[in-house]
Amino acid sequence: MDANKPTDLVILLAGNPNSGKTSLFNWIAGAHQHVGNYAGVTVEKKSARFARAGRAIEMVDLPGVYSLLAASPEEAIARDEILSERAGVVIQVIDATNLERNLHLTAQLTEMGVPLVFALNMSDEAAANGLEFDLELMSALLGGPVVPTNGNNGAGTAELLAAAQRTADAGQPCTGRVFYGLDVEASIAAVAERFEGDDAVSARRRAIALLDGLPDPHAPAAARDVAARETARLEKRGGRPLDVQLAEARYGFALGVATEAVRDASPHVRRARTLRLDNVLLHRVWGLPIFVFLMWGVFNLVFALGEPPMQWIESGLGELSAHLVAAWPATTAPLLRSLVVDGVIGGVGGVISFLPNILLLFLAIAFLEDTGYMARVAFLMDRVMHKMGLHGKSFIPMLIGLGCTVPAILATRTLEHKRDRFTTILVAPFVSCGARMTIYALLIPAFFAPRWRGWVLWGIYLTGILAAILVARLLRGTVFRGESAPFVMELPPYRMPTWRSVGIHMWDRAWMYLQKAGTVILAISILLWALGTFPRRTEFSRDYAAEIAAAATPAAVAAAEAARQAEILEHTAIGRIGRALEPAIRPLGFDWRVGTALVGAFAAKEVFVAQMGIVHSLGSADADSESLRQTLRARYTPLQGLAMMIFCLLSAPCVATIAATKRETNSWGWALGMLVGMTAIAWLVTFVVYRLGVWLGWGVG
Amino acid sequence: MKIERLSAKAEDYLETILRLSETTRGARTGDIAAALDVQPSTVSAALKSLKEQGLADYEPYGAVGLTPKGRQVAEDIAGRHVALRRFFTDTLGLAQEDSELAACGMEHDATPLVLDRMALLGEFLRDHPELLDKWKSLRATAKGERAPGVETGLDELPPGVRAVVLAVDVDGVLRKRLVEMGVTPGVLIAVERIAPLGDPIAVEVRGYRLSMRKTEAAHIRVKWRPGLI
Repeated sequence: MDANKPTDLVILLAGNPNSGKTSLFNWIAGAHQHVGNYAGVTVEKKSARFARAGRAIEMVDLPGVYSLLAASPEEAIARDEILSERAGVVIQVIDATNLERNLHLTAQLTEMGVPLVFALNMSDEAAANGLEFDLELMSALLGGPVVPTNGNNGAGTAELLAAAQRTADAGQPCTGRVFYGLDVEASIAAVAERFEGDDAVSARRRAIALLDGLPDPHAPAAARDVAARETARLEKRGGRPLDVQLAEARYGFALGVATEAVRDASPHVRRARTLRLDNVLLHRVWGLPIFVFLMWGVFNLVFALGEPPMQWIESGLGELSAHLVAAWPATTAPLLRSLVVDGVIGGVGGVISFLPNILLLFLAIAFLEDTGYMARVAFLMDRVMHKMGLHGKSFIPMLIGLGCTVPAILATRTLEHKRDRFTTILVAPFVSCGARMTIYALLIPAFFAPRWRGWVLWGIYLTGILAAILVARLLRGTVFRGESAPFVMELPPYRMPTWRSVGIHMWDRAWMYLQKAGTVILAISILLWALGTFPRRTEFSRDYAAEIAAAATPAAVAAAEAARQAEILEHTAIGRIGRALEPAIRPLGFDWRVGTALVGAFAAKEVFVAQMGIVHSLGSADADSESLRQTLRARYTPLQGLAMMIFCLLSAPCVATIAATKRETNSWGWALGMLVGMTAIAWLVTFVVYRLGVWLGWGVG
Repeated sequence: MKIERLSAKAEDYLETILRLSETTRGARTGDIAAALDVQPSTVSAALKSLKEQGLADYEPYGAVGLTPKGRQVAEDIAGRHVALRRFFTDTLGLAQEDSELAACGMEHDATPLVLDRMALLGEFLRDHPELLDKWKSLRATAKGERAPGVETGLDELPPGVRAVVLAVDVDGVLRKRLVEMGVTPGVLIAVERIAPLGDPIAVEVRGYRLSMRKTEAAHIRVKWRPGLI
């Protein structure tokens, strides 16, 4: 369907997290859905446009919330969307196995003045648990039709859509259903009177919000005065805060409807399965070993299983460029040839070689989230992570960071609160990723005796984790200062996810990565290619062509070619930047060669190794290059080698990380701040380590 | 007469209405709400359902009465309640209040056979004074003697014990979050488990599970009685 065609009806899907809202949305929207972000925030927006019964329908899956009090960005968005007057009807998805808390949200929805329809989701699971629902009575009590649905197989979705259309056509907004008690109602009326320009429903809603202690900058001063006075009076009378009293009344409504419309034939069956599973998975002794095993599984799924397809992609791209090189004579348009072969194909490779990892990561995350284990991860790890200034849910991103920082940053989506999320994003690059491992693999054997190698490697990894902890604590004490977000979190019942919903979830996220982060990575890769190509050297210090022609052995040819490449690189912008950086990095014990390799490493950390080979006139090198190690041993001290590793560990993350950060924080400010901040930290730490080492005379001989 | 099995909640209502209707004031919505510790709105909703099932009868603002069918159910439950309570006080030697609470919980599930056997055990002990004395001395030394109610923060509540929330003593975002998740004064709450590393904790409230850090739980003031689960 044409996305620009005006829609006849906008349907909003609201509900608690874990209510099965998104799987229901997936059933209804199918392939029509579109994932994006709400303007200005990193809250995911899922919507779909489709035609039904000759009408163009737009359906929006609102963020899952427990309340509409606008305490979090998700709540604010859900509330604003509902109040935007765009919505013809709001469907609340209610988890039938957890009615009371789901109906608390209903209590607030009924005050929004919009037509409401209720999807009684997982009602079959509830029936299996011995619950019986009186749907007619329930819909009378709630003020909107109640349709039983099942997000796992899509049952009831057609009836739900039909009910939504009927309700929207009738256009009868649901009016407040909660009775707050005579005294509070009188106060609500008194405050509502002061909202002169508003209609009755909106005046009541805003009055309740004021009494709930929510800021309303557009409220008339008179309304705010009355609200303050009434709040003081009611709190004195009730002996507890007014927002508590209001919540009690909403839960009173919820309990009333739940008691009334449900017959609980066998309450003991309920959640028995979840309880049994938790007795094992959260066991005092076995809980942690099982957790470690599961996380080991996740890590291996993402990286071990992702390795072969990653290599297929890389070798496929390698073959592609080999074919191109063969078919495209070096003499015709050599610049364009280099751009295509080295810039574009290399850049695309940089983007899609992450794709297997990212797909598998999102598969794992979708599975953990849909089963309900993700909340248990936070439950098990929060003690440790909280001490680090992070959240229990930060564990998975940090773990994934050991493989690659890009998926680690994408994995922070599971964190609900901005402060926790941003802190995790900003410290995730300190965890040594797989690409940095190639640097250590080159440098450690070059400078350290075999018996020290393991220790040095451990030390580097620990330094990274320590840096992450310190920076996280620093951020919490400065930029993200203030009241920390409550941990209070639902432990949802365990459920078996459907492949359909896991698949859609995985594909959506991967597609977003390709679209948003991918374009940035590609653009910067091409820019780096240009910096590594221009200005081009035309005059050399020696006549390499003659030397190569005259060379007697293949080794002599290679030596001449390597020396030529070194001269070319030195002449390019990257080489010049490396040289220009020399005064800044000399205090760290680095020369211009290291500087050049570091600039190149910005494209991807492992490029450091290749560039080191080129600048040392040894041709392109890899981590096992023994000749490069010998050269390094001759030119640098072990202390300088250590300084290089520390600097690579802590300094500016790679382009892909910056792009992912930009994507996930929705701001270039944070991405560039990360770049500058990490480089500054790396400089300082390396400086201290190097100078201390020189002063103590360690590793300089 | 064979009556379809009612929910425990409906049985509680019938029993309460029966008890209150024997007073001079009669059973009024407010009193029923107070007796069952629920919101008046809940009571009206429940009454509507009872009325539709032909168990109760009421006029708006009037006293609530029971239909003959409702009375029979209520008396049946009241009978079970009394039998259970007697077993708990006389045979098990529990305090009045504990017996009352335990009877309330079990009256819906105890089958006639269970009640018969309980009565039989009571009679047996009365008929054998030497056994009764032995049993009395044994239960006197057993733990679980009734202790006074204890007020504490939720973080110090032993796992598996049910407590009543008295107040949420904190301001700002945390209080809002806790009350909107259903931790309101008067609600029953229990610590289900503590994380293996000692923090956070998982609690059960309103039929679902919630986890929170101990520092957060400390703001929730609860009351519980040792020995009563």
